[in-house]
Amino acid sequence: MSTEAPEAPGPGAAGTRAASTSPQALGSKPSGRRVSLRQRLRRDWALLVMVLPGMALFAVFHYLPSLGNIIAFQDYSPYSGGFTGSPWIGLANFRLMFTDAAFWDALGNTLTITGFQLIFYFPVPIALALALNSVISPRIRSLVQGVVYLPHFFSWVLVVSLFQQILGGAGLLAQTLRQHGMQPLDIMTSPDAFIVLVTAQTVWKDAGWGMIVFLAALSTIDPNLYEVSATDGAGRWRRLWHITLPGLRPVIVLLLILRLGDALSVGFEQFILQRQSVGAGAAEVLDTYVYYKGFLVQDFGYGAAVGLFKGFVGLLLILAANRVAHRFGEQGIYQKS
Amino acid sequence: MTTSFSGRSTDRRTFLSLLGTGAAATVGGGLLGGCSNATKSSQGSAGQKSGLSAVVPKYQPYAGLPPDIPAAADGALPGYLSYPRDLIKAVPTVRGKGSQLTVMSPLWGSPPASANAYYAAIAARTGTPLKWNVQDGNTYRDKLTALLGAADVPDILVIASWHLGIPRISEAIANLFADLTPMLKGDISGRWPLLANIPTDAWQAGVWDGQLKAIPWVRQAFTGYFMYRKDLFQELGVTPPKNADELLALGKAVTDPAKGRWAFSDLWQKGGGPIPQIFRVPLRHGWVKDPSGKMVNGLETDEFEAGVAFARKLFDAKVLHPGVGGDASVDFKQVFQSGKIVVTSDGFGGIREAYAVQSRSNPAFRMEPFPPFAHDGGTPVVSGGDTAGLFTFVNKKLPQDKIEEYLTLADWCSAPFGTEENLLLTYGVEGTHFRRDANGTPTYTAQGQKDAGVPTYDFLGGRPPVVSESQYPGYVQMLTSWYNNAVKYLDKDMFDGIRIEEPVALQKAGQPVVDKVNDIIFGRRPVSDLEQIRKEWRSGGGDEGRAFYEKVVKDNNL
Amino acid sequence: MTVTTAAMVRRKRRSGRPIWEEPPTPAGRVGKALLLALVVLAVVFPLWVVVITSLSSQQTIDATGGLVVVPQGITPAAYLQIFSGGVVTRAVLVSTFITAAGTALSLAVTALSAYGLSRPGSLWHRPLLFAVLLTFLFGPGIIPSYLVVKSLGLIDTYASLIIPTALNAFNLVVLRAFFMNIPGELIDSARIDGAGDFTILGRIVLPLSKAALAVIGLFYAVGYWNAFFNAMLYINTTEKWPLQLVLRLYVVNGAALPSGGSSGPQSSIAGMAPAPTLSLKMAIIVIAAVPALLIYPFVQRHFTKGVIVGAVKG
Repeated sequence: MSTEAPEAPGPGAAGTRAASTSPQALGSKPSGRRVSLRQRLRRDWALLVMVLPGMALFAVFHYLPSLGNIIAFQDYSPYSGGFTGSPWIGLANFRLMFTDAAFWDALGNTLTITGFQLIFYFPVPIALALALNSVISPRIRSLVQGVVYLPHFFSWVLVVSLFQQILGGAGLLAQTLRQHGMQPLDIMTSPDAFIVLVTAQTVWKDAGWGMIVFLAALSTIDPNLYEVSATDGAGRWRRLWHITLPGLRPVIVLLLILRLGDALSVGFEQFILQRQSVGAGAAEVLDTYVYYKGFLVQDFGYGAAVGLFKGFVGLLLILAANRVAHRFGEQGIYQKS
Repeated sequence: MTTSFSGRSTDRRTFLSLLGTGAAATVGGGLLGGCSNATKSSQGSAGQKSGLSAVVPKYQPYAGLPPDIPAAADGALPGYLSYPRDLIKAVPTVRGKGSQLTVMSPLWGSPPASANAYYAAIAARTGTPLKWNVQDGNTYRDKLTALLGAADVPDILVIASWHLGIPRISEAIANLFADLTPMLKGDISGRWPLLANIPTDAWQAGVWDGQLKAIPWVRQAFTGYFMYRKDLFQELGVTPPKNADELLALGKAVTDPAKGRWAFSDLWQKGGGPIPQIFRVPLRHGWVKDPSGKMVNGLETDEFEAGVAFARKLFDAKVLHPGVGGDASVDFKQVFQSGKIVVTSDGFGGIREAYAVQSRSNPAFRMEPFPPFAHDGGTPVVSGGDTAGLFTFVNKKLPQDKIEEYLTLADWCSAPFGTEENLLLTYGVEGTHFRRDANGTPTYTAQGQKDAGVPTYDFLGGRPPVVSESQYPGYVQMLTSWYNNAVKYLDKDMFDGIRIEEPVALQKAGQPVVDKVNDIIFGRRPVSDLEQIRKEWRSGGGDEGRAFYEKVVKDNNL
Repeated sequence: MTVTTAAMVRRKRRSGRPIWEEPPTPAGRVGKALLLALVVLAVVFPLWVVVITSLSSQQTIDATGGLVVVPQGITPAAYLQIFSGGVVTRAVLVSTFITAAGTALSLAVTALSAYGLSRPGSLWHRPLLFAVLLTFLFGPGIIPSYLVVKSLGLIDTYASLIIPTALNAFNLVVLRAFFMNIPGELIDSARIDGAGDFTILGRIVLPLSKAALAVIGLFYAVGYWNAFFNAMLYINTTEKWPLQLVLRLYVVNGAALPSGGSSGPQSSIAGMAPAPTLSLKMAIIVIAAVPALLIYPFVQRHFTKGVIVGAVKG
């Protein structure tokens, strides 16, 4: 195992291996398709029993109330009509959405921010986890680990105020510049720099928290691999490239795919709070759009329509990303069977 | 908790605009629509003005304790220079029949225990015990959405006026809540003298579809104005302005970034929008009839344009605190109290709130509204709003006798300042919940703060507001004289007394305008773009709103 | 096992660096130290500001005009005020109970589901996974959720704060990925020895996944601890409020009551200066973060390198 693992240690590899050796998994092979439902039931009943409580929870508390999303096709009135009695208006809500220029602006902003953050936020927790993992002194390691995740518990109001306090027009930086006769910088109110600002805020707030799951993943990498590899003469960076990153890859790919599924959400509070300072042109994202055009004017049907659109796009992105992952030999979120 | 309770007195516009909500929230009562509710199919609706007075109680002032400083006119507030020692017993007997009712109410502050000495004392005094369910006022709207949608309401439900923007709430009100008209119309001064003491315009706000549905909680009429630091003005040797130019000059005179001091916070949309007020922009419903008889929105007026241009001038002159653009994260109450700005805009409750915070740490602190002025030095207009801040509804399923028992309780809760009932309602039981200081002013004990220091029973009735903060030197005189002066300039609105649900298209058109006007005011677009913004607003729902208001005018013969 | 032990022993020598690892270059050392110092500073400085502000008086806050960097006269007034509110102490107990019970239930359900969906080729696993994914993408609205909870009779019960959110699709999928990363030989050999799936889960998969379970448990615990929205919707009795709901009331959202009644409470508690609003807000943030600070060391303990080795070889 230790020799082949650097090449393909992902769950994909593990899964294939399991499939090829375990009697249970034989059924999944093309040749095993003939195994009857009864046989498969007999073999897998325990797994289905395990899944049952979770699925029951989803069915009752998620799927059942999610049926309420039919209001996207209704002129919904919670008091006189309800879900069954409100008049059906077909795709009117969707038509309204696709013909609203503000919707496309918000969609554009959202996708730009998602793309930007995929490049400038997503790798940060991974890098942080790697940096910390390479720290040898356990005391320093746990000290750093023990503080960097804390900003996650700050509300967005506080995060934005802290940034304001330090970088804002009346903040520490501006006051220092003024005292030295310089013109303060326009960091908090520049629409052009907004995307950088919100990403910096996100990094500061959540990178430490996001790191935790990668630390856990790092801890599952077999240390013998490093030893063998080092004895084979592989240097620090080669080991990182051939052992550490492949070990993390399944989790990275999974989180990346999940993030893509959520591509049309970049946050709400953070943008509402800073909307006035940079203007709606830069700060309007889909979630704030829904808030103003759906919730605030009490058009729940419209809000549900945008929600369905978001979910649908997310689904397409997840399926596409999963397919790409398979092409690169990854398991992704979904099995390749 | 005095401080945690601070938001209570804040102007609702501050709250709404903090969330960045609709235009109505930020610029006056309904300039661009958005306060009232409507739905897609709803093309808006409006009640009838005629016949309103027939369904509400006849106003019968209660002869209570005479004020030290009387109100000059309706809309001004009377003042009391000390807390009276001899109180009137307004309700001599225990009138309840012992029915336990359930009640849900919003809360801003720390929740009292669900059974406590304060509740017990009032239950004993009124004879109608209540089972309280207090809920976070900041998320109350979500809770209401669920409860009303599930038709799962308590016996008594308190709803703030700005919570009424729930989808088709008038349908919910029609379906779920009792019609109080038969019990309350006409002269009720014999049975419920304290309810009869609630002014007619507040009652009228509780009428839906020709039926009296709710008991109003009365607040003062002014929405908010410029507030300045009188102590700092004296230090800096400046005086309140008399026109827009003086306001700008004042800003330039006191702004000193090197010392970390700026002149103003956001004067455009917070605290009732003082800049639109001095430019006489129509604010309440936001619509006026022009000489040709056509309805015109405030946005379309020259006054609005001049106001925007002036607000931009303030921005360009760099006399605004640099946090103003991103003000959602800057607490301007704190900035103002710190003296980092010397003029802000706030509701009138904000004054009391600031004194409560500052009276101990900075006794020199003085916060006052500017004397009313207009941009051109002419006759000012000061903006007013609804005087019903909260409404109490009664479950339709409650039997008649229990509804009446509740009204009797609400009558007790409406006892005005200077009565024993009001003392119990506000401060609880002497010794347990409060003690009197040397001047006779009640102060809470720790338990009193917990039980009685947050409003619960307070919301269940309405009483005309007074100024009684005699513990702050000069406060009562200052505020009452301001009210007595400003009431002469209180604006009138042609739609007063009509419950209006604007068409959803008009409401949806509001937020883009707020955003674009902000772009102008904060230097991201030129003032000349206003014409384009108006055009977009008209096609985006503004013209639909105009047609709607023209119909309202026609239907009511205004 | 012997190899592993030897490796462990060797690794313990000299500052914990394994013998096979080359000593770090001075430049690399300095660079890493600088980077970590910068990261820590970026976090610790604001934390410091938050804590100091929560302990500052109104005068200090007025002097700085906002958040306080340099402490001048420390006062615990904000904390005293919050805990003198009466309901807070009880709310701490409620939240602790909900977090403990909820996390236990969530971990159980999530681990079962994750394992149940992690065996390649098992019956119906694809449609089931797809069903899990969908919950991720399409969410229910407030009113339907309320109706479900109400019709199950869960309104005003603690269960309403736990059961509806007991399973989270994200956590399920992440845990499943960790399960799938466990070498297949282990599971196969157990199966050959006649172990059923429940035995495999309990004896092999769970012990090997302590780090992942710790992380998922942390995610759930933090979720339960921070949750307020369901409590706001479903809980009516003040005594059943979790801590977050109580704390939120201290952070008045710049809200929102019409001004002007005579009856507004205007005074403060006799003989006690009210804590500044800003200190209260900061104190609430500190109080909310303390449990995370307390739990994290237990979570972190499971991140030790080499857990899997012993199991594989042994």
